[in-house]
Amino acid sequence: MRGLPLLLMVILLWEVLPRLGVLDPVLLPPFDLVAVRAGTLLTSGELLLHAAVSLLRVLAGFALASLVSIPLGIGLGLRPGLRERADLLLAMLRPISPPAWIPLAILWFGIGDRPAVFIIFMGTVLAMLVGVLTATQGVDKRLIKAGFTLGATRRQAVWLIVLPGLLPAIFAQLRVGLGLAWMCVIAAEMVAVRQGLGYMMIQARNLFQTDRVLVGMATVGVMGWLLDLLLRGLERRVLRWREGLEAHELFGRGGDR
Amino acid sequence: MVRRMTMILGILVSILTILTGCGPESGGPIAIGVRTANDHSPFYIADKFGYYADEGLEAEVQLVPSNTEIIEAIQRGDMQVGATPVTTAIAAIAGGTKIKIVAMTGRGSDGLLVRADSGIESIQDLKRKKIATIRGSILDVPLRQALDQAGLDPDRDVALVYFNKLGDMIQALKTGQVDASSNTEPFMTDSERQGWGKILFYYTAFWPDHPCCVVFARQELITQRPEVLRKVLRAHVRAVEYANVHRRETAEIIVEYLGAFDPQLVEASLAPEKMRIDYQITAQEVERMASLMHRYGLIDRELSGEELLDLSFLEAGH
Repeated sequence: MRGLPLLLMVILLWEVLPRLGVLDPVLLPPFDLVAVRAGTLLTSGELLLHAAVSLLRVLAGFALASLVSIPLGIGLGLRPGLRERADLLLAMLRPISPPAWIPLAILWFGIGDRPAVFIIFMGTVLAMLVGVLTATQGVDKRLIKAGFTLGATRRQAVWLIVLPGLLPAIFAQLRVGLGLAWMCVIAAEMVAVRQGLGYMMIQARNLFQTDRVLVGMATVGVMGWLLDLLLRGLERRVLRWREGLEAHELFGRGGDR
Repeated sequence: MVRRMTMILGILVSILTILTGCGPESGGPIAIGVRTANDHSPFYIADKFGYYADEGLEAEVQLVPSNTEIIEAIQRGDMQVGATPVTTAIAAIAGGTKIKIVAMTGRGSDGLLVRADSGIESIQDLKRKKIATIRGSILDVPLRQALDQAGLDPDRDVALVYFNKLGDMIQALKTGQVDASSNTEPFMTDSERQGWGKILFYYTAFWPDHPCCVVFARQELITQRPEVLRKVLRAHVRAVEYANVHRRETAEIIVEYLGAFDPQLVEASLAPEKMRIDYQITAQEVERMASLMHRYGLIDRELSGEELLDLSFLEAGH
């Protein structure tokens, strides 16, 4: 927990600056007022309900995006002809922001959870796809050639050489995707839902309840952090074989110079 | 390490302080935040015909995309005067924003839209139907009040579906995702003219002449530059009077600012049975709206007339 002192300092400033009048409390309510509001929302069960609903939507959108982007990214990365055909479409879809999908989401999926999941999916899938695709292009060709020389089939080369080599990049993209999925939650929950952290924050903004907005933001932050922690734990387990091979180990404190 | 962290935090605080710093209050031009809506037309008229300049004011009328953004700009001090639905102004005051409502700009204009082929003929037919609304807005509070008056519980007898944009609500109604949509002019008249929509009723049927959009001013302007506010309101009254006499010209000006719709449609939506452009306001009607918002759980506490309004400028200027 080496990051704790910096976090505590930020919280201290958050409390002190509005109290001293350096910042207008209407623009930034002091930390203790926000904490009291968080406590009220927690004890009433409202915050947990919103958080649970958002978590399910984020996980659904993120899971769908992972299922599509990882195999497609590898496929396009290994097949230059396909990639060239897909490049223009991907380049045109990528700049479209998640809220821009809202009208189509309503038309295609109606109202409720499905358009929300769709918006999270659209906000996540393309960035992950391009990340996996780029990483696939970067897999060392010599390793695959060596595999073929030793008698590997194309399928074996993909499963036994390309995929293990890609795993660190895939985990990196999963972490990027999970972060993006949380960032899409506000846009996703603008569409005719009555629960979720995004919904809670939008309603609070419309009614100028800045303390509730901040509670929502902090909850998204904490949940995003916890999920990232889980993913990093999984990454460490899966990629245990990389221990001692990573470049940053040479630069950190007590590194192997 | 600690020194480096402190330095970074110091820079962050300085940036935050500069970014959230308030705009100049003591002099200079005045910024008025409005939206594109029929009942905001007095501001377009005053701007176009130079009524502010006639008062010796340097005023800039700025079109802002949402009501929330107008309040946020006022909170920061980027704007000194604004116009939003009365519900937005009440919610802002309940949330601690230092503003006072000083005049009206429009009444009515909101109502309930259904599909022409829906078979919904009266408010009673709405039982167990899905109704699109924007929670806490001027499309929401009069809707709940109308349902209440008709003996329908807004939280039990119908399903209120919350949206954030008028366009999304109209699309959801058109495609059958919802059965009715709380909406406003000129969109409702437009949907009837297109043939797919039917205005079931205006909320004025349940609350005659209910307040819609109000004018408010930042507290600093009220206390530090009262003469400026008096002049703004004089120009406002003059523009309202023009709008009520010159409906066709007003429609053309609205189209100019809205950048959509044809003048005939807007003129039709300005008809007295649909809405009324007005500057007169009473404390009772604003208090009644605030009381309803409290009852429906949209604001945390009851607000008094003193907290909500300052009508001395309107009374003195007219």
